[in-house]
Amino acid sequence: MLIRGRSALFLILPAGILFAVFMLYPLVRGIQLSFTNAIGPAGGTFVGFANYIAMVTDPTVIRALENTLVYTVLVVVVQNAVALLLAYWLFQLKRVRNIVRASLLLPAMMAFVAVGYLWSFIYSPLGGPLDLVMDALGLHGLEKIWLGDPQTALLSIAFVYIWMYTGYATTIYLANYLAISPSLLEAAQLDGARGWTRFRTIDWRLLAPSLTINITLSVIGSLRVFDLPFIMTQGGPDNSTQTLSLDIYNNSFTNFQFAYGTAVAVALLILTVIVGVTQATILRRREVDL
Amino acid sequence: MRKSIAIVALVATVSLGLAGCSSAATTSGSGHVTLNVVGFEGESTEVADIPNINKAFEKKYPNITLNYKYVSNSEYDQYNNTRLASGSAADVLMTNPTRVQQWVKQGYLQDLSGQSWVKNILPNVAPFGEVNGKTYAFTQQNIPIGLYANLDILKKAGIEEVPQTWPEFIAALQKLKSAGQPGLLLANQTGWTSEQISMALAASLVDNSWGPNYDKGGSTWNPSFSPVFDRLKQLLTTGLVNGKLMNGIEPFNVGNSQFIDGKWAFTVMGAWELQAIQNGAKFDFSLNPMPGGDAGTKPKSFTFVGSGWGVNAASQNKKAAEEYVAFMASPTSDAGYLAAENSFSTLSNVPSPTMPKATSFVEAFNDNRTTPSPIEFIQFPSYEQQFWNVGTSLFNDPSQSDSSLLNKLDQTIPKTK
Repeated sequence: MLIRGRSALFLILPAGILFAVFMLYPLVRGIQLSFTNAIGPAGGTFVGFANYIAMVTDPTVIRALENTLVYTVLVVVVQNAVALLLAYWLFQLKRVRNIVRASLLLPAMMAFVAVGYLWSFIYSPLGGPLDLVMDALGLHGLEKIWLGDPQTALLSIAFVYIWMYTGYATTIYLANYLAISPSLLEAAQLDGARGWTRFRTIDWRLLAPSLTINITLSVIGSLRVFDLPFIMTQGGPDNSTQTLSLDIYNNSFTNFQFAYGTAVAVALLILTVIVGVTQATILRRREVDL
Repeated sequence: MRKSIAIVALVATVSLGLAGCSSAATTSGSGHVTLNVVGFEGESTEVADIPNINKAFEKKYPNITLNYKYVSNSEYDQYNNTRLASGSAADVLMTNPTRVQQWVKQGYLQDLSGQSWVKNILPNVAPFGEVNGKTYAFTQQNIPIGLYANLDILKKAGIEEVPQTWPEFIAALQKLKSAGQPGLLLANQTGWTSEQISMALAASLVDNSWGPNYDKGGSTWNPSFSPVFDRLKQLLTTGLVNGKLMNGIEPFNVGNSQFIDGKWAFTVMGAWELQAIQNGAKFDFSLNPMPGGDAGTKPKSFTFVGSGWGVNAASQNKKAAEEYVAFMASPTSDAGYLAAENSFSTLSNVPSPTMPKATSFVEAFNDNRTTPSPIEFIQFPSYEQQFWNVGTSLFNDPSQSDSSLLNKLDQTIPKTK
């Protein structure tokens, strides 16, 4: 049944109202607020682009942007590489697959708060299990103050995020693997394609849809990273784990610079949209080309 | 068919609209009032005797039912700011000096200058509840932060008394190190502890007028805090404190557990932990003012002006809300709160509690050798976070010059008047 005209309009009205109230209005209001000097979610006077100009020269925002980009590249590359390897391995080992598959999603099901506290304990320089293991293995050079040293703090947090979501990404790759026609792989095998050659020429191309999904999810998730640095380091030491989302929170709710925080949020939104749309376009075009 | 679809859609839309228009009444026709109170103390690790005070309040005011909501400090601003903006915040709000300033600027707090307890507020803490000479909050907490000492470890190293001066303190740390005993714990993950030890040292090394003059443009970080950073560098560069290690230790859970387990001779922490340490420690200990001064001086320290109470300017139950704040400021309630928090009194008609494990700190307080934290006079809201960045940076690399670190503070903590 095709519904047109007024009935169609009435049907989309509830969803349309919800969308307008909970998505469009906050977005418009946020953009409007970013052009004021409001110190709370209401009030303030119009200040034009002052917040955006201040943001460009704010060393904390610049540091947060650098950290966010480094974190994103690190997480996206490592998480997807490891997830692909795991998916490839699980695809080969049918007996192990079903047992492992159930546990892959477990870390992603845990709350960020719990994971943050758990890994803070693991990284602890005072009797933390990680340094104890390094010590037991004689790897004294790898005994670090993981969250206390600016050189390792961001990497340590990125590792936790990768630990949480690699299983999730693996599941998506594995689902794609299982959708590949067995006859196609058999034909490739008969033609002598094995190991790396088969992965490069057959698997990699056929995994294009899952690669698009995984890259998109991990890029957006990484650009918005907030919970782990908030729980584990609060942006320290010396701003080495300060991220854009954390800076937005600090400006809005700690510094009482709500308009400025909103301006940074608008900038992050623009960045996320540009990066998201660009990479989705490239990956979809790649899917079509393949 | 089309007509019925349209009717269903219309009903759904109207229902949705009505659902968004509900509101909660707080005063019944019989005059019974439900008073909403929100605080970042009263549960969890900081009960602060508030449940008992609330029970006593309800007993005294049977027409008022309290709806006390505990929100952790880390979520407190997030919780309240949107509610204040939309006019749905609690009637009574727990405050602190920064929140008083910011909320008054937005018109969220009621002027309480006419309340009877205002005349009893001690002059040195009164500014923390005031804006432009008007009182907007009852500042209740003025809590010591200083040097905890494990007296058993000191004895093992042959140190009979807690150091009183900086040279004695350095000598004690060196003696502990030579004796193979643990030394000073400055658990500095996030940077909070670097602020506390700096302010504690500043009590001896920086003029008391520094804080009140900061926003007036009369004082700067550089060079006033250079002697403070020099002392910290002395600890960090001579092997007495490992700054990088300290930056990796969380202060409130891990750090306190370490001290309670008897693994360190000294730590810097607030008096709110006195009870927990007393309950958990299997050794003798004391809380002391910071031995930051030169030889021959008496130790000084600072007090942290913390929580208080204000009334929401948009409250429909202002009379009941003011009664709640006044009840909090009454001698019985305040004494209960202060004893639970190990806080000094902020009221002239309420004595400070006795703190047997902090006698030297109480002595310093009575001897005017304590001062409210100089950094708390600054009105720029994120002064603490800015200091923490510099503090963790100093702990990470103590070879940086004082001027580069302190200039950074002058730049990132602007004057707001």
